[in-house]
Amino acid sequence: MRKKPIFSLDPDQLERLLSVGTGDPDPTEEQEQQTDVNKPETDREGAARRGQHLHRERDLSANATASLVGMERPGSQIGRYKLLRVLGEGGMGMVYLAEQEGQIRRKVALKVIKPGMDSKRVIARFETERQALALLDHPGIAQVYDAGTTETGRPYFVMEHVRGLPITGYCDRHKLTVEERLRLFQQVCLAVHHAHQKGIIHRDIKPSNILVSAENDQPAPKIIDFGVAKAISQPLTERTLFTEDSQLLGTPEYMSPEQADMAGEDIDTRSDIYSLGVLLYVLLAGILPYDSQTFRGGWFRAYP
Amino acid sequence: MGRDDYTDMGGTEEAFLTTHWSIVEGLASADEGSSRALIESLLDHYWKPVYCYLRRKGHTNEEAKDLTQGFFHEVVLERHLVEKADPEKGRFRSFLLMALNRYLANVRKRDERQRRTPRGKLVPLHMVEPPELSQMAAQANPDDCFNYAWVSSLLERVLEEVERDCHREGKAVHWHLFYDRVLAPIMDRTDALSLKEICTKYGIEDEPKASNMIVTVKRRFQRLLREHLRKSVMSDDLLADELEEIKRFFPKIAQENG
Repeated sequence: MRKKPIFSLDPDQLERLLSVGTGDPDPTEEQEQQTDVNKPETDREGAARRGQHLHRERDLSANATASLVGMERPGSQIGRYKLLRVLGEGGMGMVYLAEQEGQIRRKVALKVIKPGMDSKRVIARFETERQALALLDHPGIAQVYDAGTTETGRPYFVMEHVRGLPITGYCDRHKLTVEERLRLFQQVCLAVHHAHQKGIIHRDIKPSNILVSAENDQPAPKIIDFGVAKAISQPLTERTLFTEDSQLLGTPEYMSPEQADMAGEDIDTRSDIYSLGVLLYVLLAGILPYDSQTFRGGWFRAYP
Repeated sequence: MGRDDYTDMGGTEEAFLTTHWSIVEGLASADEGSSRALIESLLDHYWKPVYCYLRRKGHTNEEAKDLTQGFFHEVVLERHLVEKADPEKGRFRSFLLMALNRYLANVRKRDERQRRTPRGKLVPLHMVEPPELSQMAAQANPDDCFNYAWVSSLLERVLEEVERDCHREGKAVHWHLFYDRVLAPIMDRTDALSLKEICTKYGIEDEPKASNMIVTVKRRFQRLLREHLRKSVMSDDLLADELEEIKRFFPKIAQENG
């Protein structure tokens, strides 16, 4: 009866089957709800998460989540990409696992940016960076393939689909020693260095943008979202760290003061290096160099 | 009390008598005939995870089969592996993996390739199709690979039993509904058929009835999964821990964080 042997399933499929057997909600729901380990949950997110627990059926949940934020849902088409399922929801918007159709068929991660951005400007900014991005060729950097605008006018980015744990989670799960953490961090630095040599700044280096998987028993980090942060960052006049509903956009804990400062537009490679410094601190000390709540309360504005 | 009212709250006597730890304890005192039966039961439950682990460690198909065979054989014949087992100290799965690593170290030390394949094989593994893990699972580290294979093996066994039970009890349509609506979307990464489509496909009167039929099979799946898991722990109290442990096998995919 079963067409596919269970042994051939990917871990996420096994996890979902298991959740049916244990009566738990589908883990893809949990992925949608997952928040950055260092990001405090806002009341709104908490309420949404608790509300979503009421929906046990995956399709119901996907519908509900999609309608909550007015997003596309699995099964629909964006350009030449067919959305397969929700990978999750982050500060910028929804991320889907999608299949690229046409001559090249491949699974990709498709990130639809939340409403409120000037799509034309975002895409234009991405286009100017596109040539440079194409020069990035490093095993530690996930490729950004494409960008476009959905029918409802929101920008989206198409990226290499990367699996793995955020670097901090990986280190803890695998109980890496200080030396192993440093070696892993060194690999991340080399990848960032490669991009800097090509004139590309990431602008949003943080644990959830560095995914680590095991390759040949060795941890292999991959940085995602290169080029995306710059494209969606807004010019000075429109610049705000908060979206219309007062949700924080981005992760200021890892931002350099010049970047977090509302007036700062002169970002260079040093901003990424600052973020790497915070990351190194977290990897070695297990906590942020500052208290997150105090920080978000305005520390970075007081000390630009 | 009908069959559907069956409850295993508090644990079943049958399950208690056949925990995998009990098998190990039984082996210490069993005669050869019973040992063989007990070890065949262990082999049946664990050979695939052990095989996958060995493949991920770099052994060829044939080597992995031989080592798997040899490992289980030694668990029986060279009782020291069994004697060192301490149910108080942890999960059977971890014990087995520890024993396997000790066995591999011994084999390497002895370097006696021929002794790896015991005479009178318990189950002729060369006749059996080895499992092929998905590319993603196969690229995981050996421990994770073992865990994924172990979960696959567990789910495979439980779902086969659910399907068999459904057919035996004249609930074949129930099973098909469950398969189409719950299993297929996960296994084939497709959208689930709507309840309306399901009703049309199988000639069921209305959607609530179809939904109830699916829930019946889902509950059966959940009950049997608990029964099977119960066999690998010593007490009901440890079942919840075991479930939590299994859930930790699966790292969260994190690309969604933006």
